[in-house]
Amino acid sequence: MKLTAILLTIACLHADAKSFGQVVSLSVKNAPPLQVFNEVEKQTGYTFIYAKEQAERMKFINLNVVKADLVTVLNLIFNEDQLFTYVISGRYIAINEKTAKSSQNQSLSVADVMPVSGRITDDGGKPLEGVSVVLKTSGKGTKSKSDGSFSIGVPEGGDILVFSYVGFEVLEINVKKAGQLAIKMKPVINSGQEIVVLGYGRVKKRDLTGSVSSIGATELKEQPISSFNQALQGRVSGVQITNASNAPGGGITVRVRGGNSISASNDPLYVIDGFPVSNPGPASGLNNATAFPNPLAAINPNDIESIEVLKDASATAIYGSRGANGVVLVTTKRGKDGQSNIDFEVYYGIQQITKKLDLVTAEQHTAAKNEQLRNLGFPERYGNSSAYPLKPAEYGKGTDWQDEIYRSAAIKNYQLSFYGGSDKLRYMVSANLFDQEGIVIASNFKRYSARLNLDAKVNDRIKIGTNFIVSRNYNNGVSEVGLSGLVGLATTISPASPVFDANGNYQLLNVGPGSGFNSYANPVAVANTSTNLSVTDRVIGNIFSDISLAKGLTARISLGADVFSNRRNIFYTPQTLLGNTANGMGSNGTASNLNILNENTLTYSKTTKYHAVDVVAGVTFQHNREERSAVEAQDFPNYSLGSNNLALANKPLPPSGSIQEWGLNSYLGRLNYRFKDRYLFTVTGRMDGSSRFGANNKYGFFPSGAFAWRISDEPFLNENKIIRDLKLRISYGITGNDGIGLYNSLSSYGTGRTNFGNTEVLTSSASRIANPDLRWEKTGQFDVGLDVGILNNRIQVTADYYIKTTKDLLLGVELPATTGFTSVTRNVGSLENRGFEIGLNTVNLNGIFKWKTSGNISFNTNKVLKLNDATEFFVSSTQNTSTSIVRIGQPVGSFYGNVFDGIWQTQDEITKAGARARAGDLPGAIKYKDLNDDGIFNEATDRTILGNGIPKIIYGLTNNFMFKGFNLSVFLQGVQGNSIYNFARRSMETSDPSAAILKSVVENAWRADKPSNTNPSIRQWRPTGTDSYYLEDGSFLRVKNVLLGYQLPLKIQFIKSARVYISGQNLFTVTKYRGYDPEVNSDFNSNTSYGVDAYAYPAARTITFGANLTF
Amino acid sequence: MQFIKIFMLTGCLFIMASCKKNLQEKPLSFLEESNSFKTAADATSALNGLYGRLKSIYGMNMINLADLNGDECEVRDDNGSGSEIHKNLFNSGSGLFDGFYTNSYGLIDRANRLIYFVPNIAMDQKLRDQIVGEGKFLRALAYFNLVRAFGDVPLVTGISSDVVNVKIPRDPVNKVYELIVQDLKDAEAVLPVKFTAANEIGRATMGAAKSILAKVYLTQKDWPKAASKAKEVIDANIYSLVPDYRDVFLPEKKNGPEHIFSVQYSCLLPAYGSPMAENFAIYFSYPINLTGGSYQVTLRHANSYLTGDYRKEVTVITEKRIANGTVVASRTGPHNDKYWDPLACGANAARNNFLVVRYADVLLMYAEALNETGGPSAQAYEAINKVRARARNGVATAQPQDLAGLNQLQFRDAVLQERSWELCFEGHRRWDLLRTDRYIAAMQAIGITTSSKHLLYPIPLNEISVNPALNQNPGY
Repeated sequence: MKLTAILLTIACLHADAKSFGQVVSLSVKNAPPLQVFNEVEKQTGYTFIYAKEQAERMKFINLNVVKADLVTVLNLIFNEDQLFTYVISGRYIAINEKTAKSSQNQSLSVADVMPVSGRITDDGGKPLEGVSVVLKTSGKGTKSKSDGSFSIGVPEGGDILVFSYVGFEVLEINVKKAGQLAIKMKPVINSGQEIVVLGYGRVKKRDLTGSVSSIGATELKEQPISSFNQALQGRVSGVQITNASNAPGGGITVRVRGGNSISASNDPLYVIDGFPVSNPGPASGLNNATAFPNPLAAINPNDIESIEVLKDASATAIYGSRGANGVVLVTTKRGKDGQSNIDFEVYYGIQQITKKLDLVTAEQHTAAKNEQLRNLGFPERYGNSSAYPLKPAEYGKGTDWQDEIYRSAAIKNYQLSFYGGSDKLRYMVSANLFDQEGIVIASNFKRYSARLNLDAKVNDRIKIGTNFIVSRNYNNGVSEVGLSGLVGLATTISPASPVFDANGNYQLLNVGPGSGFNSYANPVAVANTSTNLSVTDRVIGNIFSDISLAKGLTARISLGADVFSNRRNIFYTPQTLLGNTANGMGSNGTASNLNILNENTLTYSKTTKYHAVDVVAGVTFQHNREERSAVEAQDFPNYSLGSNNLALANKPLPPSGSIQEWGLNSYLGRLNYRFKDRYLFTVTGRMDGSSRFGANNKYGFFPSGAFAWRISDEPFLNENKIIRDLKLRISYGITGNDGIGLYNSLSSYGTGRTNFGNTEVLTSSASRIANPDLRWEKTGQFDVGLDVGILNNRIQVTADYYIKTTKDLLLGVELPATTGFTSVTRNVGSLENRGFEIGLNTVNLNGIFKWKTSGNISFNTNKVLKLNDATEFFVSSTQNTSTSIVRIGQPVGSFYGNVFDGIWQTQDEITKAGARARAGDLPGAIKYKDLNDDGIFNEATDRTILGNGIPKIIYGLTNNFMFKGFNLSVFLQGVQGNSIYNFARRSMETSDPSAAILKSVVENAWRADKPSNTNPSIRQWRPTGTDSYYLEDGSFLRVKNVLLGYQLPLKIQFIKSARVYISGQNLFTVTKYRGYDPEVNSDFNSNTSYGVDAYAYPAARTITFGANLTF
Repeated sequence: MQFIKIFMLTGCLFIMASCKKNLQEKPLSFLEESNSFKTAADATSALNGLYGRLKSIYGMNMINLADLNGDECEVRDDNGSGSEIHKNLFNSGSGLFDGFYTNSYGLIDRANRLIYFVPNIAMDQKLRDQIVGEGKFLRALAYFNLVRAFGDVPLVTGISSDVVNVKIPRDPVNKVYELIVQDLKDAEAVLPVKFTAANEIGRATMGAAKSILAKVYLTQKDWPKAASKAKEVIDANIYSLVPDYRDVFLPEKKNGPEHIFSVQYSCLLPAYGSPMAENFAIYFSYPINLTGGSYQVTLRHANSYLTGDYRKEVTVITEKRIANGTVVASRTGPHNDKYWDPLACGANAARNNFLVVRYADVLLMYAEALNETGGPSAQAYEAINKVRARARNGVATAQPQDLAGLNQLQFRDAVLQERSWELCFEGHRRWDLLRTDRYIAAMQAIGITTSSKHLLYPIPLNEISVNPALNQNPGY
């Protein structure tokens, strides 16, 4: 009976196939069945129906046929060796087991299959490729094609079709008859099944024991950012991001759970596709050309699949001596099996300054000068002398220097990527152009980058792959900090000064000699005639091979290199004040950095009924070499070539250069053990040998341990309808900070120059004393966290509390002069960070209209516990704009200074105050508090802690709304409880109007007939060094990003998906801060002077239009 | 296990020759002790480094300690720390002492290194001995300054490498002097009479060693030895007084026949310039930035000159005609014009050398030493009168006339007065007053409260806090 049925079928199929005249030409050797099926499908238009599990059990196929008919080919494929046989029905070829039972089923299906086809999209209408479509009863199935289409044979009488796809909810549809289906799949709400990348491995989120936050491509995409770390701002709990400079491609300050160090680096370790990259410093140049380029701007954010921030010691200990400041893991996109897509993404945006300062007009400024001179008992200058015969009113509005240097600037991004692959070879190739003009004239940032990520399966045991990025960027920066920067110049030069003089040349000096205004360079002249161009090339590439050694045991060997090369050309023409005295000055600086890495790891995993073990162990070697050089020259007879050829200058200055190397040899291991899938243990350790450490401390060991308990998987909660997920995590570990500089443990002889008569000679003298005991800073971190998912995971909360104690802080310890040195760097001191952070994701509405919210808030307090033999020490900011104090019991780097106490109103009051008033104080002068109450106001002793630049609270909140093809996301971000030292305002409010001043100074100045208690009279009062009056509340709440997107319902053959959007960045900020923008940190590299505004490059508001197309 | 070995091997081969080498920190662009003293050129560079450091001990530092704290020099009110040191209101926390102390020991340590390492260099022996001799000269000079300023000081002659156990106590003055004398004697034996190469002029000569040694003996009140050392300098006939007193100070005439040892400054780069010109200039007269200094001449000193003494014309001014012809008058008192440099190259940067010892000083030391050994002899008169004769600037009838017929006490006063007129603002006054036991009286005479504690400066507070083995001088 069985046999006849089969024979019958075959006979009839023969006829059928022949009648279609299908022929196949194919030559394969030992090929996987899926490959053969694909080929046959392609050539014949027939579709195979099978369960995946069946295909996997099939034997590999040898075939060599030329124009053979389909049935012949099928008979060759399903020969007697195969465990399977086939039946043809309509245009389907169904595969069945060669058993009695399946034969029966088959005989049924032969007669009764009805074709069902359709198109699968996500809820936004975007087609989904590779969705598994399976018949529930038989387990037979297929996959959707790149346009989302699928077709399958359903047995007569109907069956349930099961649609499943990673990241989407499983969908079951009862099909009763043949026809077309339009399938929409819903994305799954976090289920704990998503994969989280860890150092040297990945883990399901449900099995995570440490504190790790991740963001995906969604948060990175469609944002006008030059560097990926900007995208972390407000998105990740416990991570504080400050755009230290808003200049295009400018620097960013990142702190994970507060700063651990006083003098070493506080930056997290960045690991890009497994490569721990270093952040090489930019090439050197002329002193006044400070810029803070962001080395990570070489990485194209559009290529990134996900970013994970490792925060607690359990997660970071695998990075040992580099883990203490947190680790940021960046994973770029890779090709996926069975897809082939071409994505084209583009956006164009316009940036504008968010705010202008209300500075005086030329009339007000000259009048203020006259008022000052009157107050000092001198004759007025404007309208009086022959040099300046015009009266203030005749100067009118004058030059609005802010309008002169700020512009609306374009930002453009083009990205073309190809990704896809087969099970043998997967690829991801992309090219990107990012072009951002700065809102300050003459500044811009441009990046060209290309990426190639490949994965190939060599054979059953060996897989190989590569990651490669090549990028070049041009960063045209103006000097950013202090008065020499354009922002500083534009807010200090007098509005009475014109841009051009009567002859049409740039006006060089502010107004002119004897004007009573200080000499400042003309910012427009500086911008248009000087150069500060930084060109960076960076190639980061690695190749790796995974070798399967035994069941569950895999070895990975990877080799990588990060090649960085940077050149800076700086030139000041005589049109600038700086270049004027030197008759033009220029410099060329180069910095090149080569970082090479070899990592060799073994991973093993085994799962039994109750136990599961994952082990990784490895050895890694990293070596870095940096070479720098700089030359400078002055006095250019012809400056039309700028600094392109310094040989044109009359006066070359001595060159400088350096070469530095470091190396790191490491041994690492991690054991994950799960018992009954509910009790999770992780033990991690890394032994780092580092060249940076002193000879007596070459190796450091950094262990950590963590325990997590999946309470929700306990029987007593298993059936709970409300609590879907509940996990408790506890970890402790020790990590290190090796950002202690190079060669600091060695003695050094510095070379220099001195003179005999008028002849220069070389000198050499001991400049640093050796400290062979020098070692890493050590941070012990305790973390306890809770992950909760309730109401079917529609509300998910992650909360963590941590205590970090950093010991062996590097400090300069003073030495007696009799040693010949004044200080040595030693490991003394300790400090603590404690904090609480909470992240929340909710799905508020999940119908046709969807509304999701995610938010995070973090609290951190920082406290110095121990210093060397002292309770405090002072630090001046790099720009000498403020004084901070490092004091035991206080946060690192608190602003320290005198307390403003209003304005002296009457002579009586001053006389009564005696020495509490400063010598020469008159009514209208600034009054300070005599804090120690000794009856004398003394700038040095009457100081106190005024505030701190580090926020107490940071938070972010995103709301996403989706309706049909539309989506709207609103992202708010803010900080609370920090102070900013507004050094720029200090200059713009000076009582001596030698520089431009704020209108409010003119309006509110103390005058005998209109006393003020906030602004002194316009005279020559000197504010003290750091003065509470210029300390401002830096809290802000910002509408950081609003994005409205629409998925076009296109039905064009060659376009799979099309999306357009409009977004606004930095739309609105609620703050009391009076400067340009409260997100400011002019001392970018300082740990002790955080939150100084020294004429920082202001933030921009950006409106962007974009489109994404998939082909 | 085998696999791991292969792992390690590939990794290290990929990165560098050996795993161990990856962890060795070998400086590639700066020198260490081990490669700093290999050749004759290294020895010269190290020695140049010592000379360079003199700038941080002399210059305004020495003026502050030796002249401002005296009866010839004062500062305007707006110079707080200067006012403190002038009026003996300082305490151990003053930065002036700390800088002086620290920089002196910095020089001593570099000298110790030179003296220790250079003898091992394979090079011309004569040159090697000479370089070590120069190192000893400079070490002696630094200790001589320290011992005069602070009394007992730690006597360090070796190289420090321990950064944890750094307590070093003070050694008695006479032990320090033993080293000073020995170093200078060693130096005297090997230093050349004269340097002629452009890149060597300004280095220590035999005459410099003898002159400083004469002053050391004088300070120790070892009069015969002081006299004989000074006489050796005079008899060598290398040095002479320049005819015009103004030429002693002109930047164009530095390193002339009268200059025995000077700290070398230059306007080759502003960094090599000297700070005295601006600090002593009348406010608003200084050409660079139209400001000027707060250092002035005390009225007592300005009025002490005999009428017609050319040196007053060179030294004391109340107004200055600047380059564009404008006359800038001082509104706050007389200023010192010895260091005026119309071609200064930057703020606190002019071309003047700092004169550590010059021939007039040696003549006066000789006169002083002879007088102390047995009253004013003919040679003593001859020496002091040479200096006075030059001060008449060719006008035979002008003051000061030659001295004659004084008793020992009168002659002693005359020498001290002569030194004041001749060598004021050159870093000598306080040491001269201390040596002749006139310090307290002289300071009191200009109304400054002074007691015996002021005969020594306090050990800097910072030093005591980082080196508890140091004890403080009495009264501080």
